[in-house]
Amino acid sequence: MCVERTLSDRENLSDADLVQAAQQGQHEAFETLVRRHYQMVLNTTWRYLRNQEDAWDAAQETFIKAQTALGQFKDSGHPDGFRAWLVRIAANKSLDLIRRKTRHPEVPVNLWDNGEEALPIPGPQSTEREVHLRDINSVIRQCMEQLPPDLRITLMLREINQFSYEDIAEATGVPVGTVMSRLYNARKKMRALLKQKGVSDFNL
Amino acid sequence: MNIIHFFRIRRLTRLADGLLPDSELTPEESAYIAENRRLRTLLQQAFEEDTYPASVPEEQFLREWRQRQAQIRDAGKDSVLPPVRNFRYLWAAASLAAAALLVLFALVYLLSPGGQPVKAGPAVKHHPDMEQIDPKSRETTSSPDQGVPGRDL
Repeated sequence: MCVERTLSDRENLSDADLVQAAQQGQHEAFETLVRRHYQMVLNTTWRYLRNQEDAWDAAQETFIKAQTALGQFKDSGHPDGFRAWLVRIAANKSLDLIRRKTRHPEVPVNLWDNGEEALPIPGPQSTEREVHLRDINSVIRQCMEQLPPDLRITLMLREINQFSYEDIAEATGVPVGTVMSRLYNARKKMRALLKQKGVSDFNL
Repeated sequence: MNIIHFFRIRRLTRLADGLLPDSELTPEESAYIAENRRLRTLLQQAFEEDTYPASVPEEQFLREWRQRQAQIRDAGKDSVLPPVRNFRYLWAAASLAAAALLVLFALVYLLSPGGQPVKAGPAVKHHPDMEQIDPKSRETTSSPDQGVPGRDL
């Protein structure tokens, strides 16, 4: 039985139900998924690309890719399964864009070099600890920027997006052994940089 | 990098990622795991608040997504190429077509007799064999309009 659902009905459905409906050809179901996750996808692409236009493009392409590949999505039963799948596509789309820009340098490359130097301005309600935390977070991101791109991307895929070694290898086009050595080196360098900035002693 | 160091890196990395059982660890390995757990926490915390810097209205995002979908439907392909890439493909196709034309002209030139351009030949001279043409065949080849009695031209 085909039941027409209103927007608010669809908003209450789980990702898995919406994916199932979209796989059966209900276009509106996929649109609800876009509404639900676009901000998260934008944040993911932003973290890799550090450029608003590029992050926007990569986020758009993520949903285009997700829709065309929706038939390949296997529901693992985990409530965040679709979300994790989207993050993987978003990270891969971001890496595609980075590679495209590296191959064609006539397009201005603007990765990790915009405005991050300035520390965020604390709001009037910020407590001393919040301000301190923001400063620390900013310093950590600045340290990440100082890593060579290969190490930075590998570390982000692993620590921020929880990619497996095999998935990182596939996304970056290197063998698993190289992924492991890059991770080792990235962590070593990050620890050294943080120590240099005095962050390693920060008590969580 | 010697082989022992290579395997050590692999072991430490797997330990840091929780992919090996952490029983029977050396104190150095335990310290390494603890340091990297801490690093992971710091990184996740730092990037959690690192969000897209502009506020994006839902409708704006959806509108562009619908436009891109429509573009793909129209183009019949599964990825949207940026304009700079489309232009590059057009340019490549035009260059290929020009090269193919050049090769074609070169072949025609080379295969023409003596490698010379075809020119109008010398005027046909009178030859005695021409006298032997059967007058009947001349009749058959002549235009029916010529010499027909009573025909008003």
